[in-house]
Amino acid sequence: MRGPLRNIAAIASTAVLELYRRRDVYTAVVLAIVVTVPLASVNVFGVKGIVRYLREITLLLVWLFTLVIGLTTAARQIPRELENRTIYALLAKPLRRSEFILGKFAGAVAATGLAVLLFYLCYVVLDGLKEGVWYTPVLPQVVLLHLALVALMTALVIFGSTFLTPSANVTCSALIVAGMLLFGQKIPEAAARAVAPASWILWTAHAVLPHFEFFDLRLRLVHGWEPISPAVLLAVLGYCTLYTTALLGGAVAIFSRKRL
Amino acid sequence: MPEPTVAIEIDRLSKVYPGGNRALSDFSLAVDAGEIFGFLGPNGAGKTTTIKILLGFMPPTSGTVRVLGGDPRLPETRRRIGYLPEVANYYGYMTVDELLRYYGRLCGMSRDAIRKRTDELLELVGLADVRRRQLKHFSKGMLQRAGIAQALLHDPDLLILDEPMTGLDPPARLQMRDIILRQKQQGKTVFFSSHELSEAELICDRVGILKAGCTVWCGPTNEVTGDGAGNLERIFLNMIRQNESEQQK
Amino acid sequence: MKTILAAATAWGLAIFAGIALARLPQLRLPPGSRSVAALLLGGARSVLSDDMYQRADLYYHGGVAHRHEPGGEHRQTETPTEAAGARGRRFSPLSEADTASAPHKTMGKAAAAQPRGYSIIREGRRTEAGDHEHGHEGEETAVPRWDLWSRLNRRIHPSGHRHLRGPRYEKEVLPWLWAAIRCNPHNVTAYDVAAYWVAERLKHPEEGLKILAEGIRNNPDAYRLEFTRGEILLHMLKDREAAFNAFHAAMRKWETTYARAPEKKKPDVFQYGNILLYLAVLSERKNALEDARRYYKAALDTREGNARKDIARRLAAVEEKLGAEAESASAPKPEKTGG
Repeated sequence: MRGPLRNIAAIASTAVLELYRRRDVYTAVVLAIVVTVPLASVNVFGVKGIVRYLREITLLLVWLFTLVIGLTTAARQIPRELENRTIYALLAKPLRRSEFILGKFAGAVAATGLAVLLFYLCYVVLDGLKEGVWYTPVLPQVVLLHLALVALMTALVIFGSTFLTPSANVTCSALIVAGMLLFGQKIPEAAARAVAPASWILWTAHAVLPHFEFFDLRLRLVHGWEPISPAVLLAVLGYCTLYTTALLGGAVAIFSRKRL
Repeated sequence: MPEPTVAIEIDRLSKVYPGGNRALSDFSLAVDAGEIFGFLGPNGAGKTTTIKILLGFMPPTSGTVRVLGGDPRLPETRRRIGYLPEVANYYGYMTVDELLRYYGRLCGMSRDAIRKRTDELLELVGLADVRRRQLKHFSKGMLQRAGIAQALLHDPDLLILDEPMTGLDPPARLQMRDIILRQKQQGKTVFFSSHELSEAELICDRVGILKAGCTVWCGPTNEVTGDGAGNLERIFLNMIRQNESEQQK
Repeated sequence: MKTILAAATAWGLAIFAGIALARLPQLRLPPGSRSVAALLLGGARSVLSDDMYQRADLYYHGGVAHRHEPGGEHRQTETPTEAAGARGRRFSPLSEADTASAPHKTMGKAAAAQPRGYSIIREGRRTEAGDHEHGHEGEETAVPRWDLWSRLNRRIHPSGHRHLRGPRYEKEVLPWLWAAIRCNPHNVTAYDVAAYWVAERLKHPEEGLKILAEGIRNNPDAYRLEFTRGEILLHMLKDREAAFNAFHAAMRKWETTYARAPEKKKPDVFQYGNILLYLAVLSERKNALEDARRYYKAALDTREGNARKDIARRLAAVEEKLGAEAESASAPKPEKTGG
């Protein structure tokens, strides 16, 4: 592996190691199981084989936990280095600041991504045991776009880490992610109904804010809708790549000028 | 390319922080290759700012810095520097073995080289028995020893040690002193800042005393310790008193 | 260690919550005290229950909030309680005599005639055989061409209109109705719809009757639950006597509710008409013609137009039968002739 890539991989490996040594993920998985197993055994009017409510609740938990894990993991990457002053020993090594940022990004994405895969494995097992169906065509798309969302969200948080305080960063990022997931589709409608200047603000938000709702295919999985077309999938992945690159570029530009 | 005879070259260095706080004023210094240089001064004198500039953590407002003949902001220059920070905080979730492997990879060392060097250094700093224990369970002194191990890992030509004796018990101090002296024997340059003036007296070839961002004294250690009355401790205290009387005026 | 302790505590709490939730209907609190749901949720339970109920409709439409066009076939759903007011027309009491052996033949027709209603109720008739999800994706609504993000969103998120068809899929709405009931045992509409769904759509009439029995126990004045019980007994279990008793109880409860309710909150007269018509038809079928005439007469005031004419025609037929009976009763019996 060549220099920059080796450095990025080395930094990324610490984020993965940290997440799994801290046991946050295991706790989240246990909690998810704790919530879903009793739900799976609820007797609904004596009718057997009801699965969609369980799918929805399990996926909701998967999303909730992975968003929390993703946000907190990404948000502590840079501030923790500064607070503990470990950044001094680190940046005294032959390491570029851009490699540091990209390593932190890659580490947070890898750590959260592994958590995402672990959660989906639990989901597949639970759904398979309950329904007897172990694979649905839309599932790979759901997982892939979930991982893409993790990448975009991590880039947003890393970008925020370079100029915001940790608490402000987590709050702003959580608001943007949750806000766009919940209301992202409704912004144009709201903008069309609003009057200036509210409409201008809404249209700007619609144009500029990252559309996290693009990555949410839970509805298709829960209710058995068809997968999205490959062209749309590529468009969403392209959107993710562009946005992530822009955010990381911004983060590198700010952090390279930062006085430590 | 011939090895530079001057390891650290600071020329008319000034640093003014946002808000107008002047940390360094036209400060110049040269540290020869292969010497142990003690960098002394009271709190707020500008020692940490100097070290941060030496490592490329922040740019100077004016002036130039050359470390081992290169720009410290370049990774190639830092590849030859070993640095022990003042506060030895490392990743609590790692073992000392993992910490050294991590830093070794960042220094571009091969797996075998890291393994070999880790074994040597952990023996040297006395952490071989606890190499698989997570750093969060380490005492302050043990962390400091882990810190010196990571600073020495890639066999740097220049060691920058910020308060290396902090938190060490007497045997560990002795060990640290031994490690520093051994670096000198190997032809390495050691630049260390300290409040432990007695330590500086014992091991430094030269000392520089900094006050309010300017050098007030710089020279061979034996020049100030020769008569037994004007030792470093006394010079240092006189300097502080002088500083206080100037402030009162 | 802390993590394990936290997980173990969470596990214990979740098990307790799961058991408590599953056993909510069996829990008996001292007289005068409120239900467990009420104690836990307070006033929010009603809102939560309604939300769960709305979620059942969402599930029926494949998770897509269906936008009902004003004036169109699918009009905007009112609150579940309002919507439930119209649900008595799944079956046509007047055609009961002709369809008792195939009650579902009238469901779709009755549903289509509804001016408004909750969608999972109105979709009565199975028009296609087998289990599948009927519908289509990509219902396009106006999006500006330049708005790339909205156009992409349209292609990512399903926006079509789809209904669950067949027991394999239709059962998916039940957990939310179950949850609506558990959140608020006074949600009569949730009991009503759940019973209908289990009994008629999933062909489990006994389970449906159990739901209704629980609903009636928790809501003793709910005439709609008695009415639905009567329908299930009549159409699914073919127990006319029990059905008659249920409709009779429904009538009494309706009348009591009507008498007690303030002017603005009087119960639905149309529903009362349905109850009376069932009673009339069942009386007619067991040849209690006097009773049938009484019920038809009372039902006349609840209908207008063609429906009223239809009832009047049936009333006339009953009166004709009564006249003929009276005539035959008063006529001298023919003497036996020896041969």
